[in-house]
Amino acid sequence: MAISPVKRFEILLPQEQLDGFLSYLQELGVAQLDSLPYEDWKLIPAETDVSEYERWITRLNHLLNNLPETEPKKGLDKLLAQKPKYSASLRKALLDFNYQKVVEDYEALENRKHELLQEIKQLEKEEEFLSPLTVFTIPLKELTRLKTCQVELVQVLPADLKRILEEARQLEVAVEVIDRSKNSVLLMIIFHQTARPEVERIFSDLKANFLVLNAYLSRASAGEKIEDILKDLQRKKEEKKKLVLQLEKELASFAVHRPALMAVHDVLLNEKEKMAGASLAGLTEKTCLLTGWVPAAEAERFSEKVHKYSELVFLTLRDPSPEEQEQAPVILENPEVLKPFEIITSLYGLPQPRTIDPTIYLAPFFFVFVGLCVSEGGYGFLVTLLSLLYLKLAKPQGGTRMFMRLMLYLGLSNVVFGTLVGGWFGFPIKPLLLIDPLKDPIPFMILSLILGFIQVLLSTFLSLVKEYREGNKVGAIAVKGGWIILLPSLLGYLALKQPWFGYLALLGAAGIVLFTSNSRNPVARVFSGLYGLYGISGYMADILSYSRILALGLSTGVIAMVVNSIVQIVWKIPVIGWLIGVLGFIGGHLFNLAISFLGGFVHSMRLQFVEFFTRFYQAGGRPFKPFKLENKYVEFIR
Amino acid sequence: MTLGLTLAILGAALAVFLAGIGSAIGVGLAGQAASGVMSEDPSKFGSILLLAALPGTQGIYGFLSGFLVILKLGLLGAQAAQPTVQQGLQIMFACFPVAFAGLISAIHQGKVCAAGIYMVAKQPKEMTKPMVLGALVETYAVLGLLATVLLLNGIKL
Repeated sequence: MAISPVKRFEILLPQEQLDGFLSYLQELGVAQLDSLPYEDWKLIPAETDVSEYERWITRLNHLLNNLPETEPKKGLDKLLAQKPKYSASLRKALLDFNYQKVVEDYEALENRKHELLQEIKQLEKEEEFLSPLTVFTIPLKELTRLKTCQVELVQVLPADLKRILEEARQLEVAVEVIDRSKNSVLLMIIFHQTARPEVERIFSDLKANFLVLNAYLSRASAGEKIEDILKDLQRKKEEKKKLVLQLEKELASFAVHRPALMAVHDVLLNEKEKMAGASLAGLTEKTCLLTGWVPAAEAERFSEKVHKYSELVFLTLRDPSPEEQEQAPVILENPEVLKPFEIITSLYGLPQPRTIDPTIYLAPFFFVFVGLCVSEGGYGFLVTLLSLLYLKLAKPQGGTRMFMRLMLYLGLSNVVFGTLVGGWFGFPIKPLLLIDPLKDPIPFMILSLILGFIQVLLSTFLSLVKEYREGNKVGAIAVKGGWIILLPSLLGYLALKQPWFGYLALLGAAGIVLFTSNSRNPVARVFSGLYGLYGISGYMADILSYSRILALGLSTGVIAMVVNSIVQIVWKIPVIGWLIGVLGFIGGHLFNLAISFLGGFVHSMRLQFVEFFTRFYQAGGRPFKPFKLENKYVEFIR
Repeated sequence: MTLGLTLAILGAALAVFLAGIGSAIGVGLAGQAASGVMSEDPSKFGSILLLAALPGTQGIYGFLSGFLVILKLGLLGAQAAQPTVQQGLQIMFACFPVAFAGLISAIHQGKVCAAGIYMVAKQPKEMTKPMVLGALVETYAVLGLLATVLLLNGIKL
């Protein structure tokens, strides 16, 4: 209906009471806090630090994301689950739970687990390194006993083998092939230590990999072979894996703390929000000042509650000054039936203070358009039923509740319009059908354009109201009124050829030509007026854009028909035909339901935003965000 | 089978496969963007899915135009219609608006939706705004479909 008025308040109170009072305001949840002109009023901005809260909230979130549910809920139960409830005024007692210790213990265990996993990875790397060497069966200690010779293990490409052997023979270096695979050859080479530079030269321009065993050589006990080392690694790995499993079990046992941690998280979240609210206060030596907004309808109750808090709290409540009014937060006020359509308005952006709230004007059009775009009674019935069930069983709150109510309306709209101009699951109900768009789409098209014509005229009328209120009274009535007369009478003249329609059209056009410009120069005035008349192409384009309603409505009907014909065809398959048919019917219609509702919703919304809003609507209002208790995991009730 | 019937079938095929190609490319573009965003935050799947599916409608419009031609020609029944060459050409040309408007608009809608998906990644609450932007592009496919349906409706066999 409109934008509901808000009042501005200032509250003065002793500094030591600020914290308690803000908690109280959070519980009331009706006022929005705002910043103050600190410097002009010689106030010190309050400094608050939320980082400590933020740290704990992050740590708690991490825990809650990783902990399993105590009683895992599946499918429907999960969808319909409600948050646990706690008393709002007693919420701080929830912090008595020693959550710090729980979080720290959990994190310590988790760190231990990460360390172990890291160690396992390290062991795996060693394994990977050593496993090709299992063919090397000499005990490792033997290699260190050589005095004048050195032993190296080298991996080379098979193609280089011949060249290496040749060069090694010239240098008197012993080369032994230990292992051969498709991609590499493992060589053991033994040489006198003075020959090292020459040996390295052989391999310098080859793709060769010297395996460095020093770490194992120094550690190796007598008689230990590579195979033994690998077994040892395997054993260590298994041990660590067992430990990890045990740790995981311990970590999972923390799930018993989940409900308490959920509550603590939300209490801390609200403490953080409170600190953020406190940072808006302006301080003097002993007192502090808060300012903000309350809805005018709640003002009396607010004042009563604030005075009840303490005798030392002073409150002023007043209507905002014109400058303040521009900054005021916006609350849409519509009858309960129309509330769900506020979603559409808010999606575009809330109106600026003291402008028109378009919700009531777009609601009937949006309702009808979605009905015509989808035009399927059966789908409408399904959507109605599902949203009703969800509203009844899950009792959603806030935005979700509004959205489900909107879906309920759109479902009902489809039951009506699906029956009149479409069908039920692709089957038209002949006796109730007003227009059969598949037989003759023209009447449906005319209906769409007429609806568009009405909405475009309405938007012109609203722009008249808007300009009139802004002070351009004559211009608003002459120009916008001119269009409102011109468009229907022109249409009447073209359709019925009655001369008096023509005169009316000329009257409207005269208004547009003479008053579009404010110039005192009559020539300039008339010419810019004639240019204003060119705006008729814009009106034409907008109205024709509504023909999309026909196209979308047709597409739902045809796809539903396609699904049914395919089902008819597969039905003739012997034995399993009926099964494929039933599955195809359900799947096909669900698919069509999804895409046609998506298309119908988005395109109906576009018609509101692009064709309807552009003439009169001024978005850019700040939404009213009361300072209240936020809920993520639990719900605080009074 | 007459040449007229062949031409009409060519029209139906063009409507289905050109619009289908467009949608495939469009959904492909949006899908790549969606996977990119989900690699950071898989929980956005639900909101991104709608945007990624939006360029898919052109393929459906093409398909349903093709189906209307099939119905008109009675190809599903025992006795197919025998249009003249003129009538076959008429049906084929009637399929052009949805075929070509669908082909091009789906690709561009795919780009708009891909950009929209990146936007949703940064502004999760603004999901519907990129959808409306996508619908701006789709308008021309819708108009193409409308023209095709009206033209097919007007052709007398």
